[in-house]
Amino acid sequence: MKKTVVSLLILFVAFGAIFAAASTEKAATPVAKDSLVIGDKITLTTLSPFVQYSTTGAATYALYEKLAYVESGVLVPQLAYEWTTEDNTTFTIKIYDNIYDSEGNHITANDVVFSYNMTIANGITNFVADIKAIDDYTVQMTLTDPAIGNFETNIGLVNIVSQAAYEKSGDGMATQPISSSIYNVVDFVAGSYVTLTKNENYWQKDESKLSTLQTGKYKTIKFLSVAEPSQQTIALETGTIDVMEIIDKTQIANFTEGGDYADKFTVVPAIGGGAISLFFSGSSDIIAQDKYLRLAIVTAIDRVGFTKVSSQGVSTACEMFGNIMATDAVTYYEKEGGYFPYNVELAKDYLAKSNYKGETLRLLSTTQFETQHLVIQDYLKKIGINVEINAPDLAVFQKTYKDHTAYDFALCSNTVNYNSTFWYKQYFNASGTTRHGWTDPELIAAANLANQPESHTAENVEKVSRLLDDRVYGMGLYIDSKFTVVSNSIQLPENPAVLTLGGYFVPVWAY
Amino acid sequence: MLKYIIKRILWAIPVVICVAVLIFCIMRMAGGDPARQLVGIDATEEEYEAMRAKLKLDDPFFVQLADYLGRLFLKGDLGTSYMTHTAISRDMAVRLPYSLAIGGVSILVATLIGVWLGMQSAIHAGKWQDKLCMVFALGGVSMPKFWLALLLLLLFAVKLQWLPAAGVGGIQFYILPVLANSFHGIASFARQSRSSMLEVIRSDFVITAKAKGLSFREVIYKHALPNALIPVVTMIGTQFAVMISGSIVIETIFSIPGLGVYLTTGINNRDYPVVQSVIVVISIIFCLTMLAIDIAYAFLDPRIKARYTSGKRKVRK
Repeated sequence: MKKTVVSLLILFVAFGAIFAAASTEKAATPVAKDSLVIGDKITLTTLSPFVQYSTTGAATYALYEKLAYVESGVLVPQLAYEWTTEDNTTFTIKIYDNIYDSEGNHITANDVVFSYNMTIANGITNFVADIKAIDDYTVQMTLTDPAIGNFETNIGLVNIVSQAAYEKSGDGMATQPISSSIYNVVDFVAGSYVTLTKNENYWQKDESKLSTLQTGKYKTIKFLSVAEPSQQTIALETGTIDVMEIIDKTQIANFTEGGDYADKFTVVPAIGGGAISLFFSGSSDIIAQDKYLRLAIVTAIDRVGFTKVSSQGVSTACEMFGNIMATDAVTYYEKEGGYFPYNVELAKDYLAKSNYKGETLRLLSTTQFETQHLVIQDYLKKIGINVEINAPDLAVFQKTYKDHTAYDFALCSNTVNYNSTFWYKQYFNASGTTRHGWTDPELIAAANLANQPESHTAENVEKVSRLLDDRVYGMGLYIDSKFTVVSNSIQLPENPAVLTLGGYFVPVWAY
Repeated sequence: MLKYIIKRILWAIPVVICVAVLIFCIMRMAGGDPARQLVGIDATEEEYEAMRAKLKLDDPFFVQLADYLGRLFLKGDLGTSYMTHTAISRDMAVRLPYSLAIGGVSILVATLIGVWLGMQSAIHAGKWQDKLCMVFALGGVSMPKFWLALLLLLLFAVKLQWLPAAGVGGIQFYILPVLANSFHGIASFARQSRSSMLEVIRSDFVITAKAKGLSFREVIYKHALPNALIPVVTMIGTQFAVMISGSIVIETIFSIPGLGVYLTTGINNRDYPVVQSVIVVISIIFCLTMLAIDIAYAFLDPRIKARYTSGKRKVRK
């Protein structure tokens, strides 16, 4: 026993010495790479083209091609080279006549129709009312709603594959997708990684027609699932991954100025994505008829402070109902004192004018907002409003959220893009009620008008914004910024494009 | 013995059926709605209803249950994932080996090291070796898995760069997950084997063996250890099941595509077929493990073997 203990002690000391020696920083050696490893928080469970993006993540754009996709607000062609419309509802889309997948299947208009129908049947998108093939290389697509940005936003959600290849695969291309993409799958372990290799017989030979996604900058790209936040930093530091696509917010400080790894990595911000908002229920007995109470709540919350606490200081507090970076953002707040300015005294005044008698308000949230709902509860407590938090997991939240009687106000996340009207669109529909149960034909009509391409004017957008200010149905809290971290050994373009796709961000500059 | 094994296997069938029914009911009571998850918040009521119909969620509860049990037990069909549309049997075939490998090796490491530590601790009871082992055991039991895993990563992957940080591949990818996964087990086995070893060492037959002049090694390894192992073997069974199904933390940190992550993702998405199938498979593994443990008793304790052997099982009057 004594010998064993002495041996163990010697081992322990030796181990400590190795640890100490190894703690000296090793210099990073930039190497010209022909392969890239991208970390993704999404767990890659399938590679099927017709599933929710939560299962395929950033790899989707490298795995499949679309008719077109939006890059920096502009629709960029992939399989389609022309699209025309006269009424913003029916589009005639022409695709190249020389599209072949990696197995040599010729992709025609019928395959486009098949791919769209499969996507719609699986509940991934509902923007297409009808799609049909006019000839071998022309499809006619009718939208469910001609709202501005609808065509551009949704066309990039549909992966196009050959029907014959899909049916032949036997497992819905879950493990071995065959696509027209410039990358082919060579290795896939469900739940862990997928390795892609460049397709040397790529169908598009005309370099002038290649989009960012079709250039094939690397011979191989590997997508590795890295879900755990600390592991994301470790994987970057150890060189296990070259890029972490949408790093967890708790890790960003390691890579920004003053961080331990700031000199070895570059942080690339992504614009758009999710917005966190607070909405009042139109069915609430307490809230619905009491505008002063709603005003008290929105003026009692310091959005800047809330954003700092909730988002590790890296997101942007809302300065309007929507994205201030949007091309159609309203400008009148600058002159008129700002968007629901934080003012505790004013909030108390509003509360005094309201009918609030100390009832407990029900705040619906989810487990993903574990900090946010506590901060709101705290802000409101300061002015004397009692809040009870109901924060189930996302599945229960989604069900509860549809029942407007089940909460007084709710914290929710929604996609934002380049048009603030797109954001409005998510909250209102043509039936005359808002998503949260408010019946307001005037607001709905104004929102629908501002959403149409021909009437999408600054005046109409401002009208909606002013109506929202007046009604106080809710408040935008912050735009949830996302960041990709890239090793300095990787050559970054001057303006590295990071796209949003179904709520996820894709570092397309790397493809 | 064979008769006993067959009997135990037959008993496992109603257990697995009960587990299947139970998890089916629990998932329906858990709240949330897979159809809503699939179509999203913005979908119209028509789209939502169409998805419910497609998933057969509108069928009466007992029709759904009968359909599920029929497919599972009569056709051996685990079903298809709502989210990924892939066959669950295929997914399980990919993921189960990772969980079994990590769980199996972890339990082996934990048992060997834990029992050795516990034994040394008992032999040197009250001395500094005992205290050292027990401090180690206490640390192991108290240390959260995720924290240990991150420490191991920092040392072996970041500082020393000896082992990969994440992913799957060669044997080097599994060293850290196994270490992190087994550490808690080592401590538990050490504590358990120490207490049972202490009990056995003080028993009459060990004192007799010592009095007969047997060597220390013979007394410990031939007489004391087999008797002290019985409660440890029981622990192996329960720990093995926990390590297979409950290693979600290890799988997440090391990006291992095992059953734990698959199950958790299924629960979050209310992917009923996935959750039901994983639980049923785990229950089968658990039943088989416990059977193996019971058989192992026979080899460790001749009295138990005698009871199992039907021909020699006689009632004394």
